[in-house]
Amino acid sequence: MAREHPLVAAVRGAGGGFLCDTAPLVYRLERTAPRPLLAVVDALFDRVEEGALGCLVSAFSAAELFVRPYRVHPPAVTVVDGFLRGPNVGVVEPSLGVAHGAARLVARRVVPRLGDAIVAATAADLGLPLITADKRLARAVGGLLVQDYV
Amino acid sequence: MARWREMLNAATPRTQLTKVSRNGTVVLAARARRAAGIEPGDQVVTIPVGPGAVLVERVGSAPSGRTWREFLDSDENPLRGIYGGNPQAYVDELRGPWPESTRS
Repeated sequence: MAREHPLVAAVRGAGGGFLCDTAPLVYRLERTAPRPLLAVVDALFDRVEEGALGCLVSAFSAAELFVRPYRVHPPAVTVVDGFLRGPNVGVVEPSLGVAHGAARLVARRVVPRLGDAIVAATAADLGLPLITADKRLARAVGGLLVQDYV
Repeated sequence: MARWREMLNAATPRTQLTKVSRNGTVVLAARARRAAGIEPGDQVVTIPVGPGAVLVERVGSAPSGRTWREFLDSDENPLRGIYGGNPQAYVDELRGPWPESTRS
């Protein structure tokens, strides 16, 4: 039996669910990342598709994923939409609890950008590990950085 | 057909034109069915995704014989390279600069 990828093992150890920031989703969808990085992201999302893991996405990240397709190639919007409605993937709508959490992160200068704070607060609100490709955000809130698993 | 519509259709390749019947039935073009991995007998749901646009989605697990990864790796993936090849730069462009004066 093949050895489980360390990032998959980390997520499984945290209960099997994770909240994914925007950039790792772009790696998965766009397919142009360096091969080692793509291998990390694919290991994760292949397990999601198999049903071994569950991926939650903040509605804020979903909006970010839609911006470029709407801007340059609207037919591609449906692919992003289909992916976000795919097996074991879910979009988390904003809530007042997330708003409080994000505001605290920004007010205390833990995370300076509101967008990052909303994503991080969504993960915290759900009690899920945050997977990100942003070293600054991972350091600030204790997220799992995909580059660390290359 | 108006000239602008011809230009639009040429710029945005679409599959075979089909017509909505009186009871709402539409035929999914073979090319679109193959690309989506939808086969005869599959159950689908229809989801409105915008003005004039409906997503037809197969119910259940990944299409038989085709995974999301296989689709994304194929030439049919319209998202290939669309974000500019640097996802974090794309995110930074949308979220703005990260100020230096933070605790991290």
